[in-house]
Amino acid sequence: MPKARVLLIDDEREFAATLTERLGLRGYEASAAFTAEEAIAAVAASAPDVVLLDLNLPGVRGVELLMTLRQLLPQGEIILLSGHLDLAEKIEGVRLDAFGLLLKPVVMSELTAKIDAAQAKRRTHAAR
Amino acid sequence: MPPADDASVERALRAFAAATIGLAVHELNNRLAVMRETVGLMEDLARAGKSGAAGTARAHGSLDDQVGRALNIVGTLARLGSALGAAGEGFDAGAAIGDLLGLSERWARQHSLRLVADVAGNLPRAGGDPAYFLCLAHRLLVACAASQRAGGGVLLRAARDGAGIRLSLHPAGERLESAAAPANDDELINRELARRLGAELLFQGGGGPTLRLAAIH
Repeated sequence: MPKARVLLIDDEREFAATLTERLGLRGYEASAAFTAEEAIAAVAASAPDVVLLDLNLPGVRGVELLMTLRQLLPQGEIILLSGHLDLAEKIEGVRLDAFGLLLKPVVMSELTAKIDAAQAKRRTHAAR
Repeated sequence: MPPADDASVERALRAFAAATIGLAVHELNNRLAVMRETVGLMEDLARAGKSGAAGTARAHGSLDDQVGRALNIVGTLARLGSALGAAGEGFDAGAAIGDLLGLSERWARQHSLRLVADVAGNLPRAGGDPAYFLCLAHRLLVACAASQRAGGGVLLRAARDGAGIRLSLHPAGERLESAAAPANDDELINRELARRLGAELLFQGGGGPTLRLAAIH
């Protein structure tokens, strides 16, 4: 059984492909979506435990996509990724109940700790 | 119309510098993120005894590509830095347009817009302060692109114009119904930047703006 089913949403294909492979080597079932449309379809189809969402996808405001994913995935946790610290996005992310925000480039141990904490929270809520 | 005051022009220059530095930092962070993950994956595979020659070659190719892209950004930043500090020494308008497009690429991609340059090879060196040119060209480019629906874009054409240079912006695609005419303040600032650059800013009905630059002879 995987530690968590993780969906990474990022238009940087090389980054997403490499990171999902690394997460796979660590016992996570990881997949990637590269556009907002792909992300919505993937979340609707497979309801991942944890979503890693880059807020700067083409053609969509990251906060709007976060709201859509939140509605599609009430039981899952969403961790935001960003290439730069945008305070407004961070505040919106907290308001919209994102589990946290990590800055790229991410440190693998910090990322997996965050995913594990998100999964633990999700399981606690599901058990209630 | 009265000219824009010094404080407004100063704010415009600062906003341009902040926007371009922000875009460059974001892009550099992305390159570094790919490099970190690529190196991390090589380590993970080696630790798991799964690394092979093909995977190693692919990783090296990826790292080489990312380093090249990062160096391009650093080169652009270095040129912008020296342009912003080189008052009145003249500049290579074609190179400046290339740098602007390079830095605006991600912004355009995020808005599903295309930015294309068509720069003639025989341009003379432009006169004036490159900081005013870069700031003005960026403002015009963003305003022109932002007025287009997703899927549209802007063609920047730079060509010799008599003894000077003509930079024209051509919107390509469907105009957004909600696109507003430039606010009075924005137009005043653009005209003042053009005046300080020693250039002429023209707006022709239906098309994008045109900037006529003087050359250094």
